[in-house]
Amino acid sequence: MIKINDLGFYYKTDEWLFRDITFDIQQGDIVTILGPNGRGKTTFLKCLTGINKAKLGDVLLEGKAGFVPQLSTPPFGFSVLDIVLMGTSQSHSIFETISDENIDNARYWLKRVGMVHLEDKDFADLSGGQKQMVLIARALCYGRDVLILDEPSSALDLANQKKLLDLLNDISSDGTTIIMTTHFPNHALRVAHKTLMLFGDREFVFGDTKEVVNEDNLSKLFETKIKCVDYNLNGVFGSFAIPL
Amino acid sequence: MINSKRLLMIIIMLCTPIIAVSTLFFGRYEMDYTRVFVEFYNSLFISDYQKSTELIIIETIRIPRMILALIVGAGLAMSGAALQTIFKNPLVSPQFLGFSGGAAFGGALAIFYGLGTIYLVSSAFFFALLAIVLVFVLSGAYKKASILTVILSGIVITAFFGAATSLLTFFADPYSNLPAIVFWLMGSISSATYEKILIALIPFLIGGYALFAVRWKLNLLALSDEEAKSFGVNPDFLRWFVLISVALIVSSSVSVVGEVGWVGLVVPYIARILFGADCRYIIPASAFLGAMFLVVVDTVARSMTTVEIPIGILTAFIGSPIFFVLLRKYMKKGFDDKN
Repeated sequence: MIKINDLGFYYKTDEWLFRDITFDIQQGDIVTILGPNGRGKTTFLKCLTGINKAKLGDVLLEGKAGFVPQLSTPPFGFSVLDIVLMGTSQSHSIFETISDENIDNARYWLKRVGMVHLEDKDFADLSGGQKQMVLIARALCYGRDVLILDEPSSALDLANQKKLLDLLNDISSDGTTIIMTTHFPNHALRVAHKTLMLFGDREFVFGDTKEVVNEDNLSKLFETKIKCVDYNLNGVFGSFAIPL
Repeated sequence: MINSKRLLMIIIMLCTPIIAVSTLFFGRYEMDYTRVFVEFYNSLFISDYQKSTELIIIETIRIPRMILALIVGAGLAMSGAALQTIFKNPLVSPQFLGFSGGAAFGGALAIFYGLGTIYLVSSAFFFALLAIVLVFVLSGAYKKASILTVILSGIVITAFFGAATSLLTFFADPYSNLPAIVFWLMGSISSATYEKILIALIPFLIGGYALFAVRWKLNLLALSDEEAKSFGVNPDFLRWFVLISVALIVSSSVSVVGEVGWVGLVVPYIARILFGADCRYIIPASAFLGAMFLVVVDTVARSMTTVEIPIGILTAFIGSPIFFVLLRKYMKKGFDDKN
């Protein structure tokens, strides 16, 4: 369970990116945060993880949250296993080191995201989709209660997007709460139980994805006319959004 | 994979003392080594044993020199490996970041005012730290590590402290302080004594143990600060911890042997080829490889020709081509863009 109370943040004094945001997230839910670029989605996530300190209000987060940042490759040839092991850091002591148990745990999560066969490969040599999976394993290795992802699908092709969404579904069924930003409304429609839409300072919508991700809200959010189309694929009902 | 790395580490650890001891038998002075061994054994048990010239050479010249080379080599190599990680850049080393220049100025300043050894080492430490703080501020390196900015900032700071040191020698009393400063600045391993070993050893043990203790958390500093924070690490605190440890090691080594360049660049490069990027291996491996490297180079320097070659010349001959290879490699990969 995550409680967000009156959350507010700015980088420049009094230029609020968002303010007075209050809602609760239930354990095991998948939540997407929708909004155009520059609306403060990433900043909102960083407030949740504690990387940014909220200027207003607070966030109550039970358990440990693993964070998946936007794709970047560190210098030096870290192996895939090295990268996942970095998520093993469990205490604030700078003198901490790791045990064989930690290595087994890292392997478990690598297996879970389907990357264990690549553990000795140089992380820099992986494809974008593979890197994303490894970073998810690293975040889960750190904390499996909440998984927070920043634009996980932005650099992926369609096949990898599907893989990613399936994996997130799978992980959330174990009780992990998932919070991710995206600028693809279709990803929200496909996997998210709840969606947050950031319109601007003090203005936001949070609710069941099926209710809040509609033509009116999407058109307002992206300032473009957007049409939602329902589909029925062999008895599975859903909808998708397209800009007109 | 993990096990093969551990095995390799054990081999390196075993090779270090073997190589170090065997270098004692190289040199310009011809000896009968079996006799020296017997003599050494006897001298341990007979109190007023009359030592031969050979044994005296080994005990008072070659052994202190070997120990000093081991300490300085291990310290500089570990420092280089740690610095490269926190600057997220395999091309940095103590000498490029102004550490050595700052330490040289600090030591010269202490001699200028006629202060004792403790003050000399402390002053070298303080100015080494000041130099790196200035490089940090000038380049904003921890926010966005660009190879060029960091190295250029290092060059600027080194030049500044170089000028300040020259100014000191200009104003120094030509009959007392000046020769002392000049000899100290030239310092080399050849003048090793047991007192110098002590001066180098204590800061090395403190700084080296500190770097070894944080070897695992160092990996997280290779990531962006935000990622490190998301894993519960305070990157600023850890970075200062590393910088202070490195300043301690480098300033003490400059205090006893002067500036020995390139070790901190070459050795971590070799360690990464052998062990990958994980600092759990890179830090200890750099220490042992660095010790071996400097002890071998020093042996070559003192035994290749009748006149001893300054060790810095040899390390530069080995280091500069490796720097060139690294630079090519990372420029090709578009290293700057990836950060």
